[in-house]
Amino acid sequence: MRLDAIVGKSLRDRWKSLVAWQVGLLALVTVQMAVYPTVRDTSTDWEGAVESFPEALREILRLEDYTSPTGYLSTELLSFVVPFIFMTLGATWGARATAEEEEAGTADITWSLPITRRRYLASRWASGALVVATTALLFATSLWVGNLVLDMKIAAGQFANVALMLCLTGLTSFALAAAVGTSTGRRSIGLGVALVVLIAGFVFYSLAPLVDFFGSINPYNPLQWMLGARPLTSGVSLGYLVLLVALTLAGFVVSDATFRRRDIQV
Amino acid sequence: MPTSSTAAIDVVELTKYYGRHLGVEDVTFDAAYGEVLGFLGPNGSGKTTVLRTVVGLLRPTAGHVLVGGTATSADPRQWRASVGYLPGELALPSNMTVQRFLSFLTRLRGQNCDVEIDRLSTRLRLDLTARISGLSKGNRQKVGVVQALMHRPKVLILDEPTSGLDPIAQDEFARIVDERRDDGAAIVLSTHVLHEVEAVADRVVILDKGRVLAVDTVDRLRERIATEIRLSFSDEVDLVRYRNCPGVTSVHAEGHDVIVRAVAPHTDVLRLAVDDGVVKVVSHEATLADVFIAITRSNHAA
Repeated sequence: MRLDAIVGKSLRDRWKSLVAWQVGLLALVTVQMAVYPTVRDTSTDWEGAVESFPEALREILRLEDYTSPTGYLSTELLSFVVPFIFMTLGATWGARATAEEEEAGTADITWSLPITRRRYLASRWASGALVVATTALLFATSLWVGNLVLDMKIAAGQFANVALMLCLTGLTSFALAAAVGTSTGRRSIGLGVALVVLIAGFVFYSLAPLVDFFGSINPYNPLQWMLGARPLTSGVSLGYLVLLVALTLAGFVVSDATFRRRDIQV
Repeated sequence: MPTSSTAAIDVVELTKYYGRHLGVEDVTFDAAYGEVLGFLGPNGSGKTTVLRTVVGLLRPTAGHVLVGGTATSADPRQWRASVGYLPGELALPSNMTVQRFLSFLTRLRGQNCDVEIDRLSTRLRLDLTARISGLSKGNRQKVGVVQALMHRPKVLILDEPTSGLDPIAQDEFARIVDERRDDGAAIVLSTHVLHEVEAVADRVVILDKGRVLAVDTVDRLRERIATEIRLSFSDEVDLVRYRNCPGVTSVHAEGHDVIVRAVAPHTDVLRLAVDDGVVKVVSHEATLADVFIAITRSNHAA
């Protein structure tokens, strides 16, 4: 099938870097899981320490019940670090969507073939989605295995929530970088703009509990949609999921519309 | 400009601006099935812009590319299925073997090209099992040539196809182009190697500063420019009568020799020379290089 040829090549071209990302993520999970028994066994010390933090800091860090299994994993992994890894992974693949071949100069041959630009774009999006989804699944599975080993007693469905949220976080970031990268034909612009937007969104999101203005715009902040729900503790928010899917689709529409009308650069 | 009824492609008043910067303007030419059209022009004249627009990589600012009277933009997929394109600045993915790259392209073409790939790579002495990253410039160019020809397209757009090829491969390439023409393909061939065009092209387009200066056969273009005729006499002759002959652009004397530059036909000059008792006539046909230089130089002067 034609779709397979481009998806297959996209994955084959970058499999080493993808494996490196996934190994890094597994290493992070392993370290965090290894530390958990110590945290659990010294829970009273930790609770005292957390309580001694200023209120503002606790709000910025969204510190919850730190010593419970879900609280620990949410705070250590899901409050920022791992979502940010998925944002970067998604944005890196998104920025490459079409700009990679243009910058390499191989675009002239690829787009002289009897495939439409939309078909090419769809295949590149499919490969990005595949990368983000498998990485999210791998991460959630590693958490689930850690949960079994350490007898954390977290329901399996919660890990599915984690995979879903991270997958959408990665996809939305992919969409943002792809929309910019495809319109400009420049990978660095796609990645740069996406990361600036995501980091700015994170700053707004972090300050929302403290600054009224950021609090009032927070419902419209995609970072709230990505990080606002707690998949391990309170589950996913259907509203946020729909918004993230809508944003991703909007990214596809923009990249498709601009790419079809654009000159292919040498 | 009238277009032939057998035209494979008609390029009509094609204009391309990059922002405010002129790429090409009002470019009109056609190429027929069974014809090799040489595409000539100095560096930066817009050859690659025209070819990339014809293939569909660039969007024209104005004008059309027609195939069988229908705009290629109406069904770009079908158009590109019938085209073989070799880019001027060839870049290939480096992390795969030649075989793997070609079968990737074959899958995207949705057409089995294995037999033709084997045939072309044998003729061009291209090792299909080699990794592209390890290939020399010439061997990479062969990969480019094979991918342009492997699906036996009806239209070939070749931008500097022999760049980097060794003389043996160049020779084989010229033979392949001849065969494809005989099989009825329309071939647009852009190159700086003028003797190559002279040998293979039925007609040439001369492009300069983004505009078409001439579209014609090499012979007819030759007739447009003045050639030098050296006439040797045993005595001095009156130069004025030579200056007055039709087609003569300059006359000067070197001893008893008269050097006349004249556009063909040279009948009057030669008749006069015979009357004056000419003892020797030396002339040689203008090469395509002479034609090319004369035409682009007059454009620069204008």
